[in-house]
Amino acid sequence: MTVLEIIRTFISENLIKDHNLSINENVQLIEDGYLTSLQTIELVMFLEDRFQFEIDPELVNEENFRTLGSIAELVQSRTEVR
Amino acid sequence: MVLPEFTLNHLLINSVERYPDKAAVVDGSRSLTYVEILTKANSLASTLKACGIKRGDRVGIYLDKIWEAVVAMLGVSQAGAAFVNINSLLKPDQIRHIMADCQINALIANLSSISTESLPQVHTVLLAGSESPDLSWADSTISLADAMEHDSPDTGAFSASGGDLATIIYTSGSTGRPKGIMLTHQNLVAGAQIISTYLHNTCVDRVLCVLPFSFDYGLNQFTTMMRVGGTAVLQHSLLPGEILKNLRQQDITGLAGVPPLWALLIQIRRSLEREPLTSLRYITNSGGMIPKPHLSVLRKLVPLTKIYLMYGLTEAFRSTYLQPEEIERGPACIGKAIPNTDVWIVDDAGQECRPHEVGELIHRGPTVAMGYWGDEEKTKSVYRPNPFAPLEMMGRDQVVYSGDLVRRDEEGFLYFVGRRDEQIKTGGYRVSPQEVEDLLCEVPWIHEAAAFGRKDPLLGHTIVAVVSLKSGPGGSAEDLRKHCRDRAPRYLMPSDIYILNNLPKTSSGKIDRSALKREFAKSKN
Repeated sequence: MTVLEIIRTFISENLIKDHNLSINENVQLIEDGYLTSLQTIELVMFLEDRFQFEIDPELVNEENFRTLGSIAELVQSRTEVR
Repeated sequence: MVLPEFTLNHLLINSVERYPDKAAVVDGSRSLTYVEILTKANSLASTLKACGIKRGDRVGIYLDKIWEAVVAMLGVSQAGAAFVNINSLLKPDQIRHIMADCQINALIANLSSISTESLPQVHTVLLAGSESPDLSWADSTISLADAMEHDSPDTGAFSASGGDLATIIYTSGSTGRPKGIMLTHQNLVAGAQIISTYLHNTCVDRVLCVLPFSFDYGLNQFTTMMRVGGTAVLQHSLLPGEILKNLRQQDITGLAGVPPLWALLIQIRRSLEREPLTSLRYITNSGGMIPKPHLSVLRKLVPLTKIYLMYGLTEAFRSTYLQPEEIERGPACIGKAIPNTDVWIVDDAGQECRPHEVGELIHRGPTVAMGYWGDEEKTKSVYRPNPFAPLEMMGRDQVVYSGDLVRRDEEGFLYFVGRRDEQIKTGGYRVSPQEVEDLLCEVPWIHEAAAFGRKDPLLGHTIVAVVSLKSGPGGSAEDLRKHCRDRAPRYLMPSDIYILNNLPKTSSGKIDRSALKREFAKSKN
């Protein structure tokens, strides 16, 4: 699975809990009400655990968590640095 | 010249007089001074009047927490009408209920948020944003930006006096549709005076407005800043990165929240430990009790910040608070009455309770609202004659019956026990949902918990608990039962435990107990 698919699967299975929901990489996750702020924190904890790096709380902002694509980008930028 | 404080607009005008060029509102990169806010509010008022808005009319404000929402509240007041803040999280059905219930005459809204279906009594729509949609059902559709830049600004003559309706705040009660609570200008002014006094607010304060203006304590953030000439910084996103950015870059001195906000700050403690919040002078909690373990973590996270625990109900706007020096008394302590206010605890017979006896809190003071819009029966059941007033006053001295159960210690400190209608009676024991929730929150992997009673033919009630878990290693309902068995008397043990991903929240961010009850408290057949 790609990074994007890992994130998509976690969001649809563990946060939104709707297996039939198709969210493409450009859906506005927060603006359109798919994720609450507390769910976003859950997602951050999952990402930290799954990819073994820390995301500064400062980076959990609207820009980085706008879409599946932007989250995947954040994860990739962090994993490439190492 | 500083004016006496009779209406919301006097608070603004006094700050314009004293601090004309100081930032009143900060919204992202936009900052508006007191003079700018007044000028725009006056222009809006004259536009509203030109559109036929009269003293006593209701104007709906359905905007996100943007600077225009602040101007809208002040402009509507200036025109002598009452503003009705509609939470932007509400769904169309609830919005239509509110608009129809209080017969909104004009609506100030975002294009994306309004329905193209006609709203019969709404004759004027003021639109934020640049698009001009087809709203042929309205007599006039005006751009909000234009309305605030009117050429012939209002003369500033007041169309309202202190006893006029200033706003209607809709709250979702435990049953039925949201109810509108009517607050006068006097109520709003008294709320701002009382709270800014005990929080020692001054013009150097910068408050981060996290709570919505449609919630009484969210509205109070803006009114207190307006009164002292401070700055209200508007917080849109609740993502940690966005909150931290404003807390730090805007040198926030005061932060008001409800329990889930503190849970969020605790989740991001790493950042607060690395870089402490040095300007944050105080935080205030309202809208529910902070779970005990959260409060102790929070105190360590912001050691230089004063923590005020507050209690209030929209029917009386604000009611009691605990001085930060007394915080050791724990999260259930709601302190004593706010200044210029009396609270008593009464038993079912209307007699004042003795120390440690549990009874209903009743409240008397200048923040007591007028009652429920269009619901005389409900108003009479909550707004009742003061039982301690001389008979000769013939019931003219009004108190609010809060529906909240509290007890008082020998020193006069009040402790929250629970909602009167949420109290659980199980096998002869009276249990407060909070006791069960605190017990469950002791478990390190529990994120949030809610408890309530389910009717039971033998025990009266059995206890139902619904919890959500933190990420990472968790546990099962069986583990929770073991914890309860080890730590608490048998009667506190929930008979059913449900684990959810997230607990549902009301539009003001509190745990939505009534939704959970509807879902889980049905009697098992």
